[in-house]
Amino acid sequence: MNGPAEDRDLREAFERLRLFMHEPGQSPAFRPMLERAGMDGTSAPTPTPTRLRSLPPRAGPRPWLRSGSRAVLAAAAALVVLLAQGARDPELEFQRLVSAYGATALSWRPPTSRLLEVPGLELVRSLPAIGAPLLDAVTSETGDHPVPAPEVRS
Amino acid sequence: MTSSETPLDELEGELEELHQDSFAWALSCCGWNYADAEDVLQTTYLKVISGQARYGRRSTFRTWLFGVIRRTAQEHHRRVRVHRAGMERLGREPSGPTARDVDPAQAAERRETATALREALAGLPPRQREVLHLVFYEGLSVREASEVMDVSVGSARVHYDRGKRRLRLLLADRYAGEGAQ
Repeated sequence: MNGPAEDRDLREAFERLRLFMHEPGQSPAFRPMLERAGMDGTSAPTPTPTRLRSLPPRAGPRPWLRSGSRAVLAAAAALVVLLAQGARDPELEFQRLVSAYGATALSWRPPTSRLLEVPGLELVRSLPAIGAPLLDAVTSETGDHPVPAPEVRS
Repeated sequence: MTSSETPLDELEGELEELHQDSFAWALSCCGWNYADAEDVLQTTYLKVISGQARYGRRSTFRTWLFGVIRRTAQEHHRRVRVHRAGMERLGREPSGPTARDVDPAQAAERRETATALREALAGLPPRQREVLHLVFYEGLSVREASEVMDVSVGSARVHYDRGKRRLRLLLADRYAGEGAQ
């Protein structure tokens, strides 16, 4: 960095500018400006200077709202990251696929399975007990009332 | 000392003492637009007196005040950009010197130099313009300027060195152009 001696040209130029700015009429008077800002030294005014009153109010959010929305955004971002990581995890993905396949495999029936559902299929599926009438076993499984045996006339 | 704790008379006294330099800094922050600079400085005074901006003693009052002016100017520019589009400018033309107590020849020379410097400064990037104004016009150190500008000292030094080189070139071009005419 140059020292003050090397910067003499710039210092002189700025000094001339400074002198020019200190000439009368170059700067607004202090007191009137303070009064325009509503500063009479006794009360704290609303932060709206007279010249800016014609402009619409600032549309920016309040600081607490800004910090709150930042927190919500951060939480949402974290959730998205976690979900994305979970979806990308191969172990979790494999488990999800296996469970989905198991559920569909157990509930699946071939379209022709109804052809095997014939009358009397219960007889094939049940195991008759020794000594008990075959019909009892069938009715106990199906819940139907047994057909009474025909009377034998002597 | 905070703005709210400082006696109002004392605070106003400090503001008044720095008023001309503050206005020059506000002008620099507003591209030498007098009306905008007045708005910015007025709003800054409002912030300081009402306690909206508080001096925390982490720097000199002057450095802190210039930082407030700079931020206020940035807010002002954003507001103006959004809301003043299409509206007629309300600004006043800068009033010329009354020249009652000033030698006319000296005043003319100063005005010429001031205009040349202002136009050359306008050709610099904002950070370079800011650091040069703060150091050469306001008499701050580069470190203090970095505090006002809210940048690191190293960054301020880079802007300072580049700004000086570029400003010299711009001034030389201007004077060379005038000499050729």
